[in-house]
Amino acid sequence: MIDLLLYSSLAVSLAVILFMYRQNSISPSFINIISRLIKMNELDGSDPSLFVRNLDAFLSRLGITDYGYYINYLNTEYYRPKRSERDSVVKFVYTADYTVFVELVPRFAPLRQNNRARMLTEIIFMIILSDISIQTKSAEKAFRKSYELQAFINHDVKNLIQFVNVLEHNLNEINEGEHKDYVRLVRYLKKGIPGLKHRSDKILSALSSTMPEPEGLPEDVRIVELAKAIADSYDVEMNTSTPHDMVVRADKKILSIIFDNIIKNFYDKRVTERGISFFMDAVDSGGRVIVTLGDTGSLIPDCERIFEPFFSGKSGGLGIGLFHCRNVAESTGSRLRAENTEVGPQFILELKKM
Amino acid sequence: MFKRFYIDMRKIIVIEDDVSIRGQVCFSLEKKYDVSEASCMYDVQADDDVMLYDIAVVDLGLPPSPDTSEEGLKVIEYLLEHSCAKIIVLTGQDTEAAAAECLKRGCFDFLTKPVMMDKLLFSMERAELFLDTERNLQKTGVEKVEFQVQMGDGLQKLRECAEKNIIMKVLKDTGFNVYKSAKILGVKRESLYYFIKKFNLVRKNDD
Repeated sequence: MIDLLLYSSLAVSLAVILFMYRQNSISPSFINIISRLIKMNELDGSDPSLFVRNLDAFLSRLGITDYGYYINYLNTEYYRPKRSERDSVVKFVYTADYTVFVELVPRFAPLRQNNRARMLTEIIFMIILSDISIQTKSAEKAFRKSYELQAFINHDVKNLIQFVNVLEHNLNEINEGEHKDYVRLVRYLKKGIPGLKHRSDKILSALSSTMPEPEGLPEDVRIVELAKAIADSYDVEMNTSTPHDMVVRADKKILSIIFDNIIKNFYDKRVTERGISFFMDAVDSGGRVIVTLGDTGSLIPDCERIFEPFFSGKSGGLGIGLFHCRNVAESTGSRLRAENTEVGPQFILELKKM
Repeated sequence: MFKRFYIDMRKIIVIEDDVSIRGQVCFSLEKKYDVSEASCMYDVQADDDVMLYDIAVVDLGLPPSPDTSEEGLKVIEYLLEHSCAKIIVLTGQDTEAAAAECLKRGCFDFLTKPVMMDKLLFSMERAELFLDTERNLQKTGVEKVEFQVQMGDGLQKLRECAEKNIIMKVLKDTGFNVYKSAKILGVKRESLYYFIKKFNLVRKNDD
C-alpha cells in the first residue's frame, strides 16, 4: 500500500515536470539548479532529514527566503513553518505511514505565472518522497533481518542454557562416593563438548556475520586433521587421499568456520539422503592450496545463490552460514565457491598461504 | 543409536540432535530408567524396540531441518503409530503453533527450553502415573481412546471417530488378528471386516 501511494505521488510530480518541459518552461540554467539539488541529496545520503536541513542555504542562493515544510515518516517529524503571509506554491501528500508537505513563496512575479517556483516545489517534493521510500525500505529490511538473526541466535542460546541446566542438576545429584558416576559424566561431557563448542562458534559467527572476522595469527595447520576432527564431532566419516600430515600456514579459526559449516550441511543432508559419502582433498598449487570438500549426494540447485545473505535451501534455515564463510575466506585473500560435478556437489576453497 | 538393557526399568528414549544436551539428559535419567538415545528419524526407524518404549523425550528441531518443527513432528507421528509411549516434547521452538501441533497429535507434555531438570523429571513422573493407571484400567477391560473432532461436525462423525480409533488400537494390539480382535471388541468377525473396509484400515507392513 505504501509503495502504491508513493509511486502515484511520484508519477503525478513527474507528469507535471514533463508537462512544463514541453511548454518550454525549463531553461538550461534551471536544469542546472535541478542537478545541483539532486547532487545535494546524493551527498546527504538520500536522508530526507538532512536534505530539508540543507534546503535553507540552497534556496537562499536562489533568492527564495520564505518556504515551509513538514515531513513525517518512521515516527519522526521535521517541521519548518512559512514565515510570511504571502501566497505560496503548495504540494503535499498524507498517508497513514508518512506525510510530506512542501510550500515555496515565489521570488518574483504573480504566482500563477511563476512556473519555476511550481516546478521547484514539485522536484523538492519528489526528492523527499523518494528519500522516504528508500529510508522506509531500508528500515523494514533491517528490522526483518534483525528479527531473523535474533530468532536464530535465540534457538542456540536456549540449547546452551538447557545444557547448563541439566549439567547443574547432574553435578548436584551426583553421588560423591561413586567414582563410576563421575567417570560416566566425564565420558558424556567429552562426547558433547565438540558439539557445544561448535554451537558457541555458530552463535558468535551469526553475531559477526555482517562484520569482518578479527584477523587471527597465521599458524601451521594440519588441514586434513582439522577437517577430520570436525567431521568426527558430527559422526561423519570423511574420505581423503591427502596425506594427514599436510601442513598449510593459515588462519586456523577461519578454516574451522568454513569446514564446520560445510560438514554440518552434509550432516543434515545425510539424514534424508542415506548412504552418501563425504570427502576432502587438498592440493598445493603455488601460492594457494586448493581444498575440495564434497559429497556424493544431490546437487546444489544454484551454486552462487547459496552464498547470498539470508538465502537458504533448507526449510527454516537462516542462510548466513555460507555467506559468512565466503566473507571470512575473502578477508584473508582466499576464495570459496561451489560447483556441481558428476560425482556430486563440491565446495572449493582456494586458500591463500599466509 | 545407543542402547542399554535393564530388566524391570521403564524404557525411555531421548531423541535429541544436540549431543551435549542428549548426553546430560541421559545421564540424569539413567539412575531410574533404561535409557536409549536417538538423534534423528532414521535412528528411531532403525530401532527394533520402538514399540517397547514407555516414555519418549523428543526435540522438535531435528536434522535435516533443525530450525523448524517439521522433522520432530514426523518423529512424533511415527512414535504414536508404532508405540504406546507417552511423548514429552522438549524443544527450543516455543511457538504456539508448534505446541498446538504437538498436543493435537496426542503428545503428553510440551516443555520449552531452557527448562530446569526438575520440571522434566516431574513431567516424566506424571507420565508414569498415567501409564500405570491406564494399564491398570486396561486389565479391567477399560481402554482409553483419544481422538480430536471439530465441535459442530455432529454426533455421527464423533461416533465414527471413536469406532475407528478403538478398532485400530485393538487390531494393533493383536497384530491385526481379526478373530482375536473381534472377540475383544465383542463383535462378529463379519462386522469387524465391515469396519475394516469402511475405515480403510490396513496393516502398516502392507502399505
